[in-house]
Amino acid sequence: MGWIGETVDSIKSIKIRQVLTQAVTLGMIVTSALIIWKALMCVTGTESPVVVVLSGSMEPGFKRGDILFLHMTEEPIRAGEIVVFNVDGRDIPIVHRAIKVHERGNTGEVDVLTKGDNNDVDDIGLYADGQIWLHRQHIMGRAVGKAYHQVYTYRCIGFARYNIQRLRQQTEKKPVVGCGSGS
Amino acid sequence: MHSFGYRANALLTFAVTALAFICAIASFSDKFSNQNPSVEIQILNINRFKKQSHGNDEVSLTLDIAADLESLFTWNTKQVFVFVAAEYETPKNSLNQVSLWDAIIPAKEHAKFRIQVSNKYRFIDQGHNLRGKDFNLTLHWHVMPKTGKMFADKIVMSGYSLPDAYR
Repeated sequence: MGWIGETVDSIKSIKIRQVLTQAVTLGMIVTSALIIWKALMCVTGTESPVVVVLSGSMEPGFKRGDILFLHMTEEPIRAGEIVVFNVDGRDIPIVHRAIKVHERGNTGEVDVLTKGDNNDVDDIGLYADGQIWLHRQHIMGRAVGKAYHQVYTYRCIGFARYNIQRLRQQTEKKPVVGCGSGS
Repeated sequence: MHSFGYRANALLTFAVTALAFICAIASFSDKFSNQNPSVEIQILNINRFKKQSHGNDEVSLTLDIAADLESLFTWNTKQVFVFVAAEYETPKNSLNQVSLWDAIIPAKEHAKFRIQVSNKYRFIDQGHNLRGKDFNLTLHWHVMPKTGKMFADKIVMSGYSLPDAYR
């Protein structure tokens, strides 16, 4: 039963303060990423300021894996704009181009029909049953820029490695303090 | 501090930052290009003009489109998406934009063209307001870059109108 005693001793020797510091540091890193994301949401006015292109329906302009930057303003929706919209009942937003726009004179409400550049038919088949137009509430943003998709994977790897390095630096700087007693 | 891992990490972080910076500069360089595209559109024929069974007007027409969009291409251009839309006003709708034809121009060599096409997408009104309707034909282009900000503009040509009676 000696090895149980040894295991318990080694667990006791982990300094609680050190572990807590590491946990808080990790929490801070995660929270700062979240804060940046939420701030981006505020600035661009849309729920998802950055999206990844999932399908090939807008090729050759947007390929699968490309990053799109979205922005939403109060400006009216016009034909030719690339909009990101959510269909009721579907989770995944779709990025297509508006090809028809009918705007009501009195209310400013708008009927929009979209189509992917690389598709043969318009998006009526993608809308909810019986729906033939999109309205402003379905549209989450306009695509304003794109990044070549290879950048995304490199960024993720870089971000992860940078934070592992920071964590390591934190632990190595702290001297091992004697258990219980003062200096 | 000088192990392989730290060096690789520093190199990677720097590479990603430099790459992002280069992308931004590439996009910025698009601001300095001089653009003067030109286009002429004629309506060759009104093929069909009728009222659908559920009350909306529909037109089918043949267009002659001559355009020179070569000046829109820069070194950072991936493709130019061009489309022709009919734009008009009705009593209920302050603006109607109906895309009649579109194309993707992948390279500068294809940017000067003249074609005769019938409308690719159905020209259907919300209602029956099209008889004798005056409308604009607008050529829109959207320049999609290899990386960075997209930009778009248009040329509005007015003076087109539909016949006063169904055919």
